[in-house]
Amino acid sequence: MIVAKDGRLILRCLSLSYIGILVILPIFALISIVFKNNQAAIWAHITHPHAIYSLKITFFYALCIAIINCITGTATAWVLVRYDFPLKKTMNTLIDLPFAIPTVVTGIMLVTLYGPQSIIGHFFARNGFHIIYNQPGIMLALLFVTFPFVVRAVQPVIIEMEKEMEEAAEALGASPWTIFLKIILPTLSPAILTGTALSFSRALGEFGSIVIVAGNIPMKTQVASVYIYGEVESGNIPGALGISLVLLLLSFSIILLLNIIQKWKRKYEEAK
Amino acid sequence: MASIMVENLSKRFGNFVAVDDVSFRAEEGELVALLGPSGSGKSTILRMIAGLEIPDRGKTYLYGKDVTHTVSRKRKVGFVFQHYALFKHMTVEKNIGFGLEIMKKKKDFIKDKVEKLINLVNLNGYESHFPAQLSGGQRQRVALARALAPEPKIMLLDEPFGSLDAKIRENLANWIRDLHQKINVTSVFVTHDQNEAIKIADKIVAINRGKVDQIGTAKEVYEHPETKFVASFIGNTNVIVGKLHDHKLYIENMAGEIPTKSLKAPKNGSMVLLVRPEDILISKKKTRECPIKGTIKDIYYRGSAYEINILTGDIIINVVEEKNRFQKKKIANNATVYLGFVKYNIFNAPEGRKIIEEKLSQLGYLE
Repeated sequence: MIVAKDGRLILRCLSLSYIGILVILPIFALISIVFKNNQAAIWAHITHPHAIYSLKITFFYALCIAIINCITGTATAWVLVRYDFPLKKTMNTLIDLPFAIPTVVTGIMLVTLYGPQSIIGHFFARNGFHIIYNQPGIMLALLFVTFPFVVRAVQPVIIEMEKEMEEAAEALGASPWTIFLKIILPTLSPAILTGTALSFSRALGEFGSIVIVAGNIPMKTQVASVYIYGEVESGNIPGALGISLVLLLLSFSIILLLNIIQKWKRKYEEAK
Repeated sequence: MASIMVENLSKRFGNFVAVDDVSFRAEEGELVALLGPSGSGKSTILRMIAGLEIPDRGKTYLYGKDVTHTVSRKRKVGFVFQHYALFKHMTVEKNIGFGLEIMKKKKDFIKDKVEKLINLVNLNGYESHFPAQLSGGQRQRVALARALAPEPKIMLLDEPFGSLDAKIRENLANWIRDLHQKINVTSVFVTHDQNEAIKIADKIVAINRGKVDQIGTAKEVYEHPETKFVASFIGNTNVIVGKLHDHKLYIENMAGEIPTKSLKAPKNGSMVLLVRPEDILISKKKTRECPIKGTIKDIYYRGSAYEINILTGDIIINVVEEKNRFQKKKIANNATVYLGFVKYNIFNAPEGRKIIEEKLSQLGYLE
């Protein structure tokens, strides 16, 4: 008994220190170094037009792809669960590819497909629409990289959702649109929100694919993570710190939001 | 005019014939049970009446109107699902009021009606609970109230007590019976529990392998089962194999013969006899009514009655006798007794032969 008790205590200490060292310590390191530096200088770096611009487009495109993912991801999950079609299993496996492929490789693939030397890229460029080394490239890369989040969050909920709930609503006189709005959407919304928030926070930090696809053009395609990299490369540590802190705070608030969603979800799923 | 009338309903799922040429009707105010084992197609019939499934062939009429191709939401029937199918994200109140909201009723009206229904199903104090916070019986009552809210003239209940434990089941079954009499609806419910059907239904439609085997009142179906299936399904039944010869039934491996002057099908040959445990007499002496010799093997006390297993030849016969009558006889284990069948149903080949073969193969005589 005593051994088992000790064992549990040790395991608890080990896992706590692991989280402490691996997750909490680096966060503290960043925050403390921000406080040690001249904060006025850091603030000046954050408010530098290039920095502001990079934060703006990062935030803007993260928001865009989050909204798009919210719709396409839910629709994809729905189709994968509720409909039958040839190669359904293969399709289902393919969904995870964007997670598995190294993001740099994703970047290379997109450049190969849409770059000015390719047929598609050439066609668009001739009509004055540049995809690669331009903002549409950022969008494409982010969409590719974050695609699985909503699908994989929503899919299990649709599988679990009893079809009878929809039938009950139908028998009570509800039209298909009403069933979608009042029964399906409320049931799925916690999962949709979770997936959307995750893809948003992932998009905030995406580096590998964007640096290849969009390049590093200030005031045009320089997103926050690429900007930080540039600052580090040129030895401007306070500049990197400032933007890093902003990204950290954003990610933190998303995690907080997710927790609130989870709590709300638990309210009616508890005591099953 | 019948409230519900189905004609020649058929439905396949792939190669599986779920419902095969089913016809029956439910008169206004009737409580009808669709009785059959699981997988017999009874739920599919119910779902076709509700419009949740489209029949391959046949027609459905509600109050004389052909609704075969009418979508479910326009049929105005109340449907109660076996697993309740409550809206998990809505409170009890919202669940019950859903149908009225769809009908765009005024808020005050909905509030009033929901309150009345909550009273009716005894869920006062649970208005703002979520389904996950309720017990099985409570959830089922919410499901009932929800289906009743739009005041449908027809209620369809799919194994309404299927997932509840025995005690709650019985209470709820009686409660439904009372409710049915209180409000003017025609109800059809699906069940695999013959006691439930006998207890609360006005009419029983016995379903076997997607076909109607028999339609009748509970009493008719119980006392005069028309097929072996119905007989064996309705109540516990002893299946006895015998041979008919010169109007006497010789029962295989059983000591004694039974005179069969009342037999409907007095052909000579193999027969199957179905006898209910309560239709068997026990006597300590051999008499004209009790010609079959046996030995008492087990005696079980069952409240108001005794259940007795009697070995005769090499088969065990299950008998149920009323408590006082059995106690008077003062029979103990291993005593020799004589049996007589007061009532039985007899079926001949091919059904009989098939059962004989099964029986023999069970005993090891056939491969």
